[in-house]
Order: sequence, then structure tokens, then C-alpha cells
Amino acid sequence: MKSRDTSVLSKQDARKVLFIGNINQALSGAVSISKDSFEVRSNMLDGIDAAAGGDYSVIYVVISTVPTKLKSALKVLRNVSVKSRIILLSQMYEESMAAELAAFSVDGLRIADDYLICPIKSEQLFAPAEANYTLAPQTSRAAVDVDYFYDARLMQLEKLATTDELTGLKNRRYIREFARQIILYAGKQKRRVTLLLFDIDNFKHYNDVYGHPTGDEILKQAAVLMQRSCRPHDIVGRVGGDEFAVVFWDDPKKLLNAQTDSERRFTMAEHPGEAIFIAKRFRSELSKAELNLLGDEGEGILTISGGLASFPRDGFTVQELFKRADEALLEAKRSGKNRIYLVGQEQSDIEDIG
Amino acid sequence: MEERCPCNHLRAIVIGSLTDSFVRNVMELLDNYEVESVLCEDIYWAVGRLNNSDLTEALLIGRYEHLSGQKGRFFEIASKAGYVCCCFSDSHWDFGQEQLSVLKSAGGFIVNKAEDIEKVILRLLASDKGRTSAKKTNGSSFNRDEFLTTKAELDALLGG
Repeated sequence: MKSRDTSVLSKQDARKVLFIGNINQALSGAVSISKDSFEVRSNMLDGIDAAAGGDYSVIYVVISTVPTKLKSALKVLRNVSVKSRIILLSQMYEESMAAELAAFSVDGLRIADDYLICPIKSEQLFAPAEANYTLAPQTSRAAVDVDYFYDARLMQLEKLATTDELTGLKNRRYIREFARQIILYAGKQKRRVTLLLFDIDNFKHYNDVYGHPTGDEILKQAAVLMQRSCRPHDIVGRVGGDEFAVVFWDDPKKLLNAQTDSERRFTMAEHPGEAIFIAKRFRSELSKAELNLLGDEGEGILTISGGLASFPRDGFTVQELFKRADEALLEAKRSGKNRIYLVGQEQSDIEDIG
Repeated sequence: MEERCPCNHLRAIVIGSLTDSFVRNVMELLDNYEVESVLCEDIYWAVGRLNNSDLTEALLIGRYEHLSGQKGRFFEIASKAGYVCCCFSDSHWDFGQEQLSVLKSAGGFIVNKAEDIEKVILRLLASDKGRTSAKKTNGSSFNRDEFLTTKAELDALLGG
């Protein structure tokens, strides 16, 4: 183990924490924090004002606090608080933006050190501040072994907790939590969300006849094909043995930036129209996929059965959406497989989208 | 009329972009009157500057729509730091009752002609000349009653 380079460490006497944003939105459970070392500002202007006049070891910023000019605001925050660790707090559907911001640098200085996905627990807010030292920002993490390995382990654990190991897709836990959050968001923004549940027809047969390694390869290839068929911000996950889920949602930033009709079509989901289009495209791609591991019969034999349900048309909660989509999926299977059903207002309105 | 009077105390922060002719004109005006000024691209940068300055009198200038964000919270922060907000608006803008109230309470005002900015600067310089001490005073020392016209308009906008 390398010896610790003390030049990058500074003893932290006042472990003050500044929280910028709606704290109730970010934390799970009751908020019970001592006010001695913890300050809250509800908006970014006050946050910057406080940071400029204070000496905080950690500054948390809820991304949604700053509806516009977030990058500019973070640059200023970094400018006035060079020695603080700035941690972004984002909802799941903001994760890509949070990651992008955390990687952004100005003049060699990152505007944010890290990000966390909400909701988080109160005690997590103080975790970085409880160390006996403060890592100076922008310092090479390899110079301080403990922090480096801790962060690496933490990242690994987080990935394992949300990712399906076989396919690399999001797992059931992530999909359900993401769907819950995006439905809340969509409800406030008057947008729609569509859930697709599908599984591979006769998958058990492939496992039994060709073996589990072949079955695993089929799942992996189906995962890749589905991801390619979807829009970049849609969330694809594996929620069961051979069962997959896709959450189609409208990223408002992509909607704003769309210039042409094709871009608008790509970004704006006329729920569930766009989801139906993507599901059909996926079925088409799957039918053309050459699966050599299935021998001479490998081409064009894979089919799926699926069920689509939309918020708010078919349900108002994630539980309701999953239930309705699952009912449509079962109906598709009962009706002969190799089809995707869309839920209508009534059970009898289930429609075969082809 | 252009007075060239060196100023030891008056400072200004202009908020906006040099692509805006209004901003360019204001910066040129301040330069002509030898008022030390900085340009900030938005209110976040301006707030970052507020704590950096050791000022006796300071002016914040920018378009109303750029300064009035977050329900006018910027006006309050600026006022607390001893700044006077001079907002410019040359078009019909939904001023927002809440933001206007905050602006008024914070001692700021709106001008709707670019040439009025020069009058503001001149009046501030005149009040600055009358001061004997260079030390920072509590709050702004210039006489806001000189801006009765704009204040009256502001009151009219607020309906009070």
C-alpha cells in the first residue's frame, strides 16, 4: 500500500455541510439532522451566496433546484467554494445529466465531484464529512488509497445493485424504482409513460434443447437488439428469467432541442404510438437475427410476446402499469404468442399491435 | 451631457451578454464615467461577485427578465449586500407582481429607456461625490426619491 501523501490532505475542523434544494424531495424517511453543522438553502442563488461566505466541507445540490442554466450555476458554485466537495443529487431520470455534469471541467477543475441518486438517507449526507480528513478536489484519487478503493468498491456495489449481470441491462429493482419516479415526474409535467413487458417465446425449450449457455446467449442478444431499437434515454431492463421491460418516457430536454420532424418524432413519444413502433421494429430485428448457436434453424425463429400499458391511460401507479402490461402479455401468449398486445380502457379492448 | 468624474467608490455589476447592444451601451457608459464595472453573464455569477467586493456604493444593471428570476430573490440578496438594482425593460414584459414587490422592497427600480441608465449613473455619482468617508455604509446612501418618476411608475405597476 502506498504511503499516504499528506500534502493532499487537510485536517477538517469544521465539517459543515450545505444543502441546496428541497431536502424533503431528496431524502427518504424523516429528516432529523443537527442544525449545528448543517445548513439548507432552498434555491441556488442563496446557495451560492452562502457558499461564498462560508466554509463548507461538502455542498449538496439537488439538480432540479436549478431549472435553467444549471451548468453556469455550478461553475459559479465551484468558483466560490474551491475547497468543498460538490455532490449532485438527482432523480433516476436525471442520472445521465448528473453524470455528464460530474465529468465536466472548466480550466481543469470539475464543477461537481460526484452524484447520488435520490432518495438517499439522512446519514448518507454526512458520510463524506465524517472522515478525519478532506480530500482536496481535483487531486488524483490514486494518491490516497483508502478513498480510491472505497469509491471504486462503492461504484461496483451500486452497479451490482442496479444492473443485471448477464445482459448488462438494468435489473428489476432499478426498473421498478425508475418507473415509480418517472410516473411521479410525468404526472407533474403532464407527460406520459409507457411500459412494455415482453418475454421470449418458447425460451424454456431452447434452454432444454440447446443448454443454458445457449439460453444465456439468446438473452444477451435479445438485450442488445432491444437496446438498439429503443431511444437512448428509454430504460431497458431484465425483470425475470426471460422477461424484459422497457420504460418509454419523454426527456423534456431532448424535446426542446429537436429541430426536424424526424428528431421530434424520435424524441416525442405519442404514447403509446412510438412505443408500438419501437416494439414492432424490435420484433422485426429479432426475426432477422442469425443465431448460429441454434444451428441451421437459428435464423428467424426467435419471437416474443409482449404487453404494453401507458400512464395515465391504463394506470396511475407503477404497480397498476405492471399489472396491466402483464395481463396484456398473458393474453398475447394465450392468443398464440408472437404478438404484442396493447391494453385498452377495458380488458376486452386489448389490441394486437401486430 | 457627459461628465467625466473619477469615482473612488461607485462600482457596478452589469448582467448580460456583450451580444446584447443594451449591455454594450451600458458598459461603454460606465467606462466613459470611469465607473469600475464587471460584466457577469447571469445572476448566479453576479451573486458570486457580491461577496467579493468591498464596496461603498454599488449598482446592478441588467434586463428585468434576467434579474427577476427565482421570484425576485436576486433583488433581496443584492440589497442585503448593499447594491441597488436598476432593471431595464424596453418591451412589454410580464413583470410579475411578486417580483415587482420584491424589487420595490429591495429599493430597486425599473427604467424603460436606455438613456435613463445614464441619468441613474449621474445621480449616483453626484451622491457619491457628496460623501466624505470612503468607508462602507449600512445600505445605500443615495436618495432614492430622486427616482420618483420611475418609483411612481413602479408603484403604478404594482397597483399601489
